[in-house]
Amino acid sequence: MELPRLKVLWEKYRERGFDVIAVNQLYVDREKYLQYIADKALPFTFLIDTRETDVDSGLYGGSGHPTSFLIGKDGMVYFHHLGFKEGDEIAMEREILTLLAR
Amino acid sequence: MKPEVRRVALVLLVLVCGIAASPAEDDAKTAFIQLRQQLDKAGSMADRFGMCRAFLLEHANSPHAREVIGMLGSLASSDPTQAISVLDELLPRITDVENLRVARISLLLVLGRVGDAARVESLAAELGAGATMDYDLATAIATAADAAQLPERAEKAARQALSLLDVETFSQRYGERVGPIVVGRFSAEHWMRIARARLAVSDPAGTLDAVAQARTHHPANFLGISSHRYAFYEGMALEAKGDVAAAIDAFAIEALFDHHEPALDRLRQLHDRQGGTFESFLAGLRDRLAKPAPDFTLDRLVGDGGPLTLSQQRGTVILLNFWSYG
Repeated sequence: MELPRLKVLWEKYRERGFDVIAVNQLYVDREKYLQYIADKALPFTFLIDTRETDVDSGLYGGSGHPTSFLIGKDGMVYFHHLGFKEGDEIAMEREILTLLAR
Repeated sequence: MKPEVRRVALVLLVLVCGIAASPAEDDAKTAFIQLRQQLDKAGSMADRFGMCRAFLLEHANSPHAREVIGMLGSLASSDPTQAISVLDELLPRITDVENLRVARISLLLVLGRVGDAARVESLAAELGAGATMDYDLATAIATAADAAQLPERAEKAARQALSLLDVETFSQRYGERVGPIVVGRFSAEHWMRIARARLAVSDPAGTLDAVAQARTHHPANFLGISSHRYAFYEGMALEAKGDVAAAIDAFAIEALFDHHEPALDRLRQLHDRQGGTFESFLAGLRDRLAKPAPDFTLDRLVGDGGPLTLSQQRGTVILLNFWSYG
């Protein structure tokens, strides 16, 4: 699971203007999600998508979970990661630094 | 023989067959349950192949054999040669029409995966000549021929499959909501097989047309990314046409937004003809191809503060993550 790993990046860069927005549809019950977030002490902005709002599979193309889009201060998407594998957090850190620098 | 006597004989024959068939099928069922348990515990790949092989040779015509052939198909991803040899050994023993069909389709797909063009071609011709061409068979031929780089066979089968794809059948198979989505995805896959076939016969215009068709059935996301690799094949066709600038943009979409190695390789090749470092070349492409993040407003799962609108977060660098539990 990638979210606990992203926590390290969040803690390191939030002061410099970085945030993680985690979106999900409640495929299992809400309590389970809340429990997971509490257990891992995840500090992100968590949002709820639904079949009606359809942000994940509609607006963003729904290529699978997890998927990450890195958005610059200008609101443009510069990086995209489908899935999460060992070492991705290193690439993501480099990308976050690139975007924070401009 | 008098008609009554014949009838009695016939009834007896049916009874005998019925009695004879059911214990054999019971055996197969027992063996099948055992096989599944053994497979769970099996250590090596060779053991798994051995177990499937033993079952199939013993129960070649049982309905359970179809499932085991399916299992063999999954084992084939780690050792296709072994799977081919088991299927070759099995095929002459099959008399059941449905089992024969399943085994041949399975063999065809594995042969495609190892790129055995000669055998794919002959088996596809044999299967294609049979009277019962349906969607699954056409798809198997198209898939295998595409993988084995047999463009003509692949295109013909893909077109046949497209003509046999209908929403009604697939809505029955997958449900009203999912059916049309599946049909869209499958249509896109077949159009991409046609696109690759057109590319292989040096018809870049035909390639671009086929990709355009695929895009209508299963759109890419807002970055231009799709599992069908539309942009990569468009890049290949554009490069073949000599439109290098457009080819670079197409490859860049795959390379920059989906870490696609073959597209990155093409970019390295095309960059050699231009100035500057490769890194700065990629950075320039990224700036040009970046797309506005589609805006949305969603409720929070945790905490108060009301709904959040993405566009109101300007000035912050955001990692937008789509996740699910577990």
